[in-house]
Amino acid sequence: MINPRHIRYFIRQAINSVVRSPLVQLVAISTTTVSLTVMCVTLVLASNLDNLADRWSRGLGIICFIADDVPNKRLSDLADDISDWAEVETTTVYTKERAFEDLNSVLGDDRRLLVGLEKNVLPASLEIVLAQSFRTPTARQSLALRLKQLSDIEIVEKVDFGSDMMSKMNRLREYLKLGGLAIALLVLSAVVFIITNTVRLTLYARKDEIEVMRLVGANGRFIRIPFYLEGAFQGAVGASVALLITRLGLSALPMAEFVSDIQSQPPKLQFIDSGTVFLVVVGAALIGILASHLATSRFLREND
Amino acid sequence: MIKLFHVTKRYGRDNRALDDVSLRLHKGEFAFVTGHSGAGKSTLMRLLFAAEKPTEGEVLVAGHNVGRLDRTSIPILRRNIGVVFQDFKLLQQRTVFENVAFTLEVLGRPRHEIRDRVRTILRQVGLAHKSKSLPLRMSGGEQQRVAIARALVNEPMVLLADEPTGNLDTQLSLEIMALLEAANARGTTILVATHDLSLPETLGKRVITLEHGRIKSDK
Repeated sequence: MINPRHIRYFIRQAINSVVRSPLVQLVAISTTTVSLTVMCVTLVLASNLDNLADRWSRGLGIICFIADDVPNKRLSDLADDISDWAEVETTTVYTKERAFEDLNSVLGDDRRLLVGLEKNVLPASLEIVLAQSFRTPTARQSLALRLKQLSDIEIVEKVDFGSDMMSKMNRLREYLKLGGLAIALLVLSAVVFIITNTVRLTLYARKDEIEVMRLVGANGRFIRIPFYLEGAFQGAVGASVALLITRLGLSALPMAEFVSDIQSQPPKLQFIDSGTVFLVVVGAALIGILASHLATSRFLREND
Repeated sequence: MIKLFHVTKRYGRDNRALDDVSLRLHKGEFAFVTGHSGAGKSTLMRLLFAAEKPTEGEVLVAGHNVGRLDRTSIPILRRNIGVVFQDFKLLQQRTVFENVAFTLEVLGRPRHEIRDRVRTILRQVGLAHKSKSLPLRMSGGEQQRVAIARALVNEPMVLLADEPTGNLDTQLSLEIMALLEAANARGTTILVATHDLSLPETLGKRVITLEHGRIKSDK
């Protein structure tokens, strides 16, 4: 257990250490920042590609056309039933009337083309979005078969090339995860290395003080904790600056305009969510503590 | 309070810094360890505050068997021992008050207790007026008094002083010895390592003389 009276001392020591060697801190934090920026950029890329893949795979759903004589009540009940299936995320009902209205609005100025129609020839339909874990060609096919067994329904898959693209997208997501993991490991190793060496420099600068600490009966934990705080500080500040740089870089990126030029509904490039931001900062602080632990353990062993 | 049974300390194969040393210091005793350079005085002191472990034999200090202490138990022993060195080992960037208070901070004493005890001990060593000074701006004698204050502030059972007057003139040496005698009068067991034979003669205390790592005489 940590003596509560020591907490003030630990914080004071950590602050003194940071204030006493600003250059060392600056070098440590800036190199940590550079490393963590690489990781943050990777995270943002991975997160955006994942979002894109998700949006895209949602589009690879199934549209069921419904026979003309099916009343809207039956259509709505059918949608409710299908929505309860595990492989279905959402089911949207398009009645004949809604389909006609949608066509009207899509045609815009050309809507006069529809004036000659004696009746609404558009069929009612159900648009089914697959649940995340069922967005595979096989699952999609078996869902289609299941739907075909229902009366009143004719199945038409929304896109022909969907299955192939879906497989490719899934593979890309897997590669991305592996690549991201490899980069994260490399970056974290670099951060551990940087902070370990910074803390070692501080330890050597305070060698006399640590010797006196031991003489008067300070235990290992008492000596280590201020250094843990220092490491956590370097990690957390490095991560915060890296996140800020990534955020600013993202908003300054011409990519957003480029994407909007080539797509009618551009996927917005998004920064990582606040939960991930929190995890990055806390994770970097923990890495800082780990690095300080390695440095102090080695130092105390060498100077025992 | 301090017991050594057939203690040998070897560095490497042949270098015997201490060779089959046995001695006993009772509670409240004041003794000197003397001998020429290399006689084994500092090695003996280092064994007593667990900076080293004996190669053979048993070292008992304030109820702790030094040879059997693991890394986590050594601080517990040291909280019962005050140590003073020839080179003072003061923290130069801290004031006199902070240097002395450091021992009590490590022990997690309340702030008001630290303040009161540091003021008291600084008065006892005659440095109450220098509590805000930095050690580098003080004379050698004053720095040694700060080191003694730091060693005594938590009222240890044992005080070990390794050449505490090595850098001081005769007058200052006697002043330092007077401080140690005062601490001894309050019940602290004191062992002083010195090559200066005149000090124990002047004070009339027990003298253990080491030569080539062995006890030559104990009077």
